[in-house]
Amino acid sequence: MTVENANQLRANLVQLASGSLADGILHEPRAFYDVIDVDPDGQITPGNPEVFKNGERHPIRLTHMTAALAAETVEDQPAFQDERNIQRIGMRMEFHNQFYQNPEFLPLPLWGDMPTAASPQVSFGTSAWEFDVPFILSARDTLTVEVELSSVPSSARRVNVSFVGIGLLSGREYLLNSEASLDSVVRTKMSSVAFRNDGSEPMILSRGTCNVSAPVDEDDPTGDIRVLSLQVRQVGNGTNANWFQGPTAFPLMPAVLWGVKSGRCVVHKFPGDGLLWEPGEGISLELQSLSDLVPPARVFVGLTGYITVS
Amino acid sequence: MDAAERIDDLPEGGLLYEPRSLWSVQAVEMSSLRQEVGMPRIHFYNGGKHPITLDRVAIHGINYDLAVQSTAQGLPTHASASAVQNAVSLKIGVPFRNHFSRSPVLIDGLVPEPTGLTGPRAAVASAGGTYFPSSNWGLSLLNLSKPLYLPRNAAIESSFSAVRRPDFDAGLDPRGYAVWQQEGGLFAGFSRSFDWPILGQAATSSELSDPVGTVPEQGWPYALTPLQLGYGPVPQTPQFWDPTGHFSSKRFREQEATRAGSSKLTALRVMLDQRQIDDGVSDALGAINPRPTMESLAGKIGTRIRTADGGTKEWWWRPGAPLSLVADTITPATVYKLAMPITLSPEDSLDVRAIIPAIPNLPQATAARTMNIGISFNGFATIEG
Repeated sequence: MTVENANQLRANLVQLASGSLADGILHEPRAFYDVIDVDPDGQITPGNPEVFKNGERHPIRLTHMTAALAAETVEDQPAFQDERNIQRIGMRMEFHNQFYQNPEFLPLPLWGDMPTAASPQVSFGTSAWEFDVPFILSARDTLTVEVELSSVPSSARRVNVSFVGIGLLSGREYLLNSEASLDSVVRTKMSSVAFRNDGSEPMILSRGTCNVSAPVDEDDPTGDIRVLSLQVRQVGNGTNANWFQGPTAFPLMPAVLWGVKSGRCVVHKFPGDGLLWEPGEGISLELQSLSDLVPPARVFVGLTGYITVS
Repeated sequence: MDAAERIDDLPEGGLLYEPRSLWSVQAVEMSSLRQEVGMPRIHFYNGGKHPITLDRVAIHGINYDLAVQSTAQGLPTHASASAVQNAVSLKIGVPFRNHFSRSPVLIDGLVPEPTGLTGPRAAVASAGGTYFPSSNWGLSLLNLSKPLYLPRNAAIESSFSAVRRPDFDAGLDPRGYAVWQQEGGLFAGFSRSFDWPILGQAATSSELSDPVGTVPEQGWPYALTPLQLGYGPVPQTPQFWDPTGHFSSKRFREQEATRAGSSKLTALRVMLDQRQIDDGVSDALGAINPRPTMESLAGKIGTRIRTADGGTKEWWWRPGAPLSLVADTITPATVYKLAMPITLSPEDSLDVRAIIPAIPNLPQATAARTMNIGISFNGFATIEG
């Protein structure tokens, strides 16, 4: 990015954020996600009920769908499943008897329409999300970030979560970052001090990244983002609600679904401005194994976007 | 190209647009001396009635089994798609107007568009060989530079060819899935879908014994055994344009989602499930180290597309264009977006020359010395509606 483009981007962000503030409008990222164990016999497998539904009091606009396979199979076997099984699992969405994209089940990679590969050295262990609308982290506000591994690693995995943005008044860049070392499946809260806005101006945060390394004793240092889940909540101003909403059995969102900008998941951008869900609205979602060769597979599906609070 | 980058959303002053591509695939025998090869001018000739605006260039090795060759001893290291994309430079000119480049340009050396998905890491074939599977989850995507407006009852006919592949039986046949994405409706969009078994004609056993870099037919589109007409047993070998790979206008119309009028089409997506082909090639190679990277079938499948009962009804490109060269938003090909698009009026043509560097230590087998170079210029035709 040239200096001129960077300056223009900064000016636009400040204008957008300050304009929203002046109008009393607040945006926060949102994602709905589900964890679905697909029936291997070709039976239609519905998602968990009421997951993809706006349960808040404000409208939510969804712009992208993300999907990936879990690292482990349904039985949580220690062996990782073949990631190419994603080619043999079809999906469709339903909304008032209308199907998207088609009444036929379309294989998940066929939904992909966004090139998302970063460098192969980092793509497997990193997810990055450029928020559709940046959010404001006011002075003294912080973010609560919880992380969790899906299986016990042979040795500790380093987990890193960061947010990047600029100052509303100064235009300077801010980088909020925290790292944790996880060697179990215990849910861990990252340091809220690291995510606190200790400055004297609101921050406009526009991007977030999470990364998980390989177990530190392995020869291959390439990470695997599929084994990490996370949850984020803004404390202070904002809605103070969890950003990610999914089935009760999985209170943290699989981090691989965070890779809207770059990462390891399939990303589909909804046509036009995306889906607008008023409070109480939602969709249902179904999956189907397209081949009897697919072993019982666990699939992650996410819908990402933002909530608008006025 | 991101859908958000589309230049317009509504027809301008009655103008309509259809995708177009000018492409060529040439087999060139490598040499220990530098070579400059002129691509056939006729392949880059605008033979239609409408001006064509070309804004992207794609280059890809066509009809290879491997994307990246293993450097294991004895294997010809330049017999892979990667060699084509990393070694071949281009000279591009528009006769009597301008030279886009007087000196050879390596497309990799410009700014390649991001055209990839992360995909899976590594896989193990049944014989125990470990390899890197073909890329992008098998996905090819063409985001149309300009939306395509189809009148009610008009349709699109698309054909996907059979392929040459190593001869093995690994259970499930490779399968292809294609969708045309359109906007509008309750969900703000809809896709018309089609799936088909990818038929293949087996390579001979001698080719299978050395699948790497073997290019059985050095021309493209290659010939398959001709259809046997008359009475007798059903031919066992598929045709290049086998009916199984034809997404007919009837099938397209059956999936009409709205009767509101015109359809606004924005993208074509194709996914190729080729897992057992990857496994089969890996089995034929045996367990070698370093691990090879398998090549996508998108470089082996020919395509032809046109509108029916609307639009120009002309083929969008010379039939047979490899999918990887024309679906260039997500593709294994290297894609460069021209800073200034080239407009070719009817009967105008491009002058394209490929420069192949001197290759030392050439293998003995002719097939392994052959580079199959695929080049395309992609854009759209402007049609007065």
